[in-house]
Amino acid sequence: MPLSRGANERLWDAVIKEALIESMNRELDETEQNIEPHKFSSQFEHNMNKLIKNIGRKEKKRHRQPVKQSVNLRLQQRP
Amino acid sequence: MLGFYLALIDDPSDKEKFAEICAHYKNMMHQKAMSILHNTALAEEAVQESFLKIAKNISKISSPICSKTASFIVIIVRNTSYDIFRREKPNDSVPLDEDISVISNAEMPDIDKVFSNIGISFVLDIINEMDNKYRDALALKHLYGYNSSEIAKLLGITEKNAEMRIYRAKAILKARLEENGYAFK
Repeated sequence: MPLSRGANERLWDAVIKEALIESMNRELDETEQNIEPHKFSSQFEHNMNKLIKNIGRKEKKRHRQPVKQSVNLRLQQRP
Repeated sequence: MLGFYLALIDDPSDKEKFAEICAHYKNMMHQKAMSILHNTALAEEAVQESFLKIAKNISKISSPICSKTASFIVIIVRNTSYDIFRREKPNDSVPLDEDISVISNAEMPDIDKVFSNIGISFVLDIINEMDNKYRDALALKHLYGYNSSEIAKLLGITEKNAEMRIYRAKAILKARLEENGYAFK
């Protein structure tokens, strides 16, 4: 019995996925075989540190805001 | 520029995840970039640009140290390196995409017939022989679940080109299956 179009596509998706994983793993094995440590330039390290530090910045800002709000609430409750 | 990307990242665990990725993969990324660019400064530039793309997609990376993430990073750094190569050496040719008009809509054949006639390992052989640009687009779509617009941004190409690469990958698969005994209706 022939497969429906949807079932056929889902099966193809699974087959392609499996083949891609295998193919990507082979390339990864080749790439990871002879990795030599590289001394990155100070500019690169500076930019990367800046990048990593900045990732949490927005979240820190958000955490600070409720504290301010609670202080304001307490101030309002005072007689 | 940095601020633009980082404004999109607001989960605190992402910072830790990103730092882990940087520490674990930067040498591998540099080596991959060097294999294409043969220039340390340009390779560092490729690694940095790749990290910006990874930072932008950090929420989609669930496990920083695994083969799936490593493969994703290899795709990003390879394509970023090709971009830099084209930018720095416009006269040396890295194959460009074909015109989208030549690409036909590649529907996949009935899979049960393919299994009985050819065998699954043949699909792997076709994918292994495929040009990286087609395989990468196919991987980003099928393995990582990115849509054409996201693939375009990750690979530094237009959305039309991203769609074309996916269709082209499927067309190659279909053509090779035909060559090897599977007859399409």
